[in-house]
Amino acid sequence: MWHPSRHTAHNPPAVVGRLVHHISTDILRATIVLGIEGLVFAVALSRGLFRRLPVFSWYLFAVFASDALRFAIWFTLGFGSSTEFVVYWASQLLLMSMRAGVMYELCRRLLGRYRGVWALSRIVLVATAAALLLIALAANISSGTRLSNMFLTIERGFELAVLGVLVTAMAFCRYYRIPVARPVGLVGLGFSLYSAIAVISNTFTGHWFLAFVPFWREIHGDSFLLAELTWLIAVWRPLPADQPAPNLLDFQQYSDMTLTVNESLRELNARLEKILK
Amino acid sequence: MSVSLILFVILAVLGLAAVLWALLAPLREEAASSADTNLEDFHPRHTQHFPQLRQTLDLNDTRYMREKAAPELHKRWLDERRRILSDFLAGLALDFAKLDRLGRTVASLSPKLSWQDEFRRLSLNFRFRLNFRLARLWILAGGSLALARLRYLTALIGELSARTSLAMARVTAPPS
Repeated sequence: MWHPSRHTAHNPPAVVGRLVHHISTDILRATIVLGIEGLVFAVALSRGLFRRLPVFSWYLFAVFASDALRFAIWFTLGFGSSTEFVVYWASQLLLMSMRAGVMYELCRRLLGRYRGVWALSRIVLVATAAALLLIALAANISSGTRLSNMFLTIERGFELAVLGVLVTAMAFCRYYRIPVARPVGLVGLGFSLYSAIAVISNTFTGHWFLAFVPFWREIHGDSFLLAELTWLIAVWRPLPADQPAPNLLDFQQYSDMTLTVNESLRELNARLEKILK
Repeated sequence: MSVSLILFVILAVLGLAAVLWALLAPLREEAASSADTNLEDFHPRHTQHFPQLRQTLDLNDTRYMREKAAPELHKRWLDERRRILSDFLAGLALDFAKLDRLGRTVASLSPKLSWQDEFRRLSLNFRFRLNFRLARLWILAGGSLALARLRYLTALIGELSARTSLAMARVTAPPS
């Protein structure tokens, strides 16, 4: 997903003029971006990722398609037309919605097989995402009325929520010692990298370190390629066989097991009470 | 911005980082317990030697050694006492880690989780880590308050054991 940096409030108008003279560089860049995105989608398709992570696979396709459309409009109608602005933000909206779907899919894939943990973590994950989005909306009130600024603030809030959800899901996995399959972990890592850079870029360059704005914009623009490369690593090798579902204990088994364990624990408690008297 | 404000902010950040580290960073014993796959061996062994340890730490002995023993012998006695306390502390951590691992594994496999139970276990975990680190500092400093800290840690193990037992009982209780 390529980000034309002109949609921010920080770029001087001279950038537009420079872009006309550097059109060949931009074509090269478009080729690289679309090439990598297409390659990741093609490899994912060949590895049968559609069966494992269907929403993520559609997302990869949507990224490729929307970038192709953006570049086509940019090269034909120019950089700065209202059509380009509408198409950019409309596709951003679509991709953000799909990313929300991918987050659900990843969390479900990580924790869904553990019924009790999934039921508990779902509440925590939704609360985390809602809290972070609310913070972003609150910040939006003070961001002014300019449309592009408003979109950027919403985007930052969304990326913060994505990062929060991923970190929380991974914390649940670590706490309950739930194994994370390598491809799923790498897909999550790609999203985390992109979201973290987007949040830092949108936050810090909006208020502080204004001298580094062009540098941060470049990093933000290229951070999605970093995510794409992480996903390429995830799907490069054949996907490992699905891990068998953990043997969740049925109610009777669980009751039998707890009887034995509880007996030992009661015995221990009695001893400890005696010791601590 | 004044220098004192900057210093205050730096100290506050460092203090916060230290507290977060004390609460969140797993103990070495927890990592050792994770490597052990034998879940049945959760029985806390070290905790039950607390009475003997209390005897070792008897204040009368300490006073007697300080007054009567030669400085060289007294120093050796203090070092030995510190080593015993450190070993016991590590043993307590291992006991706690094993019980905690049992609780988490059972929770991950159970069909229903109570967020209150999970929250209490997490809070116990944080309290244990924090007090373990404080106890280690007390032992290194040779303070007599280490005993109170160890007693508290032993009580936390008892509480974890009771909570684990209660949580398991609650999950298996027939729905009313």
